[in-house]
Amino acid sequence: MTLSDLLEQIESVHFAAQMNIFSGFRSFRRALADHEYVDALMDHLKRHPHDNERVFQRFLDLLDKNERPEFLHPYDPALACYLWVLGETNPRLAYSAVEHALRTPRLWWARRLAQYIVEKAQKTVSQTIALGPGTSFSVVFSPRDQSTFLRYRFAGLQPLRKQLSFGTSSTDVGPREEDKVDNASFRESATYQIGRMAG
Amino acid sequence: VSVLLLGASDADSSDERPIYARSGWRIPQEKPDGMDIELMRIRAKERKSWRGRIILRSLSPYPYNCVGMIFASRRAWIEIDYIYRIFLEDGYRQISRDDVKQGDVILYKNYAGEPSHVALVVMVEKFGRTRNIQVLSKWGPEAEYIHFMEDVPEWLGKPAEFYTERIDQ
Repeated sequence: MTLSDLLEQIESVHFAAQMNIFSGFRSFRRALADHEYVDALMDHLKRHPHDNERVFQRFLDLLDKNERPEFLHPYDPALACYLWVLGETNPRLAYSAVEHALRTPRLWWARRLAQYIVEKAQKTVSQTIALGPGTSFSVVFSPRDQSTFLRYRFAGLQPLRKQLSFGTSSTDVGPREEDKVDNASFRESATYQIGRMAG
Repeated sequence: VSVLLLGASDADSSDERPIYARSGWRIPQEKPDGMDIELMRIRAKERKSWRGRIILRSLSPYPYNCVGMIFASRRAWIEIDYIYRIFLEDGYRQISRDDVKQGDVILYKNYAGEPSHVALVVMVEKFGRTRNIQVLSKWGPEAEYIHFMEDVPEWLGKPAEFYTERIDQ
């Protein structure tokens, strides 16, 4: 089956009717991960990695294809599917797709999946950088300069901000008022930062 | 370790109408956008082609789910993951399949043993030792169906547990 055939199946009424029956995000994710179309697309992308770009482009094209913008996006399940597949096969493109998804209104499953990818990436970072007793840290994303920061809190010391360079070492950028970053700004900006996390 | 979570749901917005369990516990809810009724109609027709015995009861552009249908009068999307807490806070108890009556609730579970769906019993037919149970069932955000309790797509799971808040006569 060609890539075009696979994409057509994923954007079909049949797929949307199957995937829009769930009452919880966990069930939706499980069904997506087990779906034969998703399996087929992942297999294809493993054999033809250059097609990841085509899937990503298709994702962007579909995002704009909401002819009745007052309602939930008609391709929401398909968009979620592409996000999921890219997340499994090409994290760099996935994070870029997350960025677009979080900026697009009227998404349901795709938006929740985008948030899930963001949160999963955060947890990965947290787990990677474990600190000793008496210390804690938060991952902080700055909407102002679109950098990713790690905030350390050592007992009895001033907060120190460090810019992370993923996969290499970290660089001091000096203290800032990180708490000015509110949730609304986070929603707007998170995906830029996550893109950097992918390196 | 404190991790700042991103992407707070729109359910946190101030226009959310709170829903409480009988105990007073505020039930968390999500807020999907409304759906195009024509699109829902097309998908409902597609589902009917898979399972001819299901009866489409209604389509609603207001996006509630199965939990919202039963526990929030079709006014909210409540994640199925909260279902045990809702049973507890609303005073439900588990019963056997043989004790099921109209108005009771069936909990479906998927192959991983996770709660995946709930449906409201609307009819119990007895033919000798056989009991056919019909339910009112909301599939995801789109359509309400009336169907025999086993007549759901595989991913919605299988009827696994039965609950009631009836007071025994």
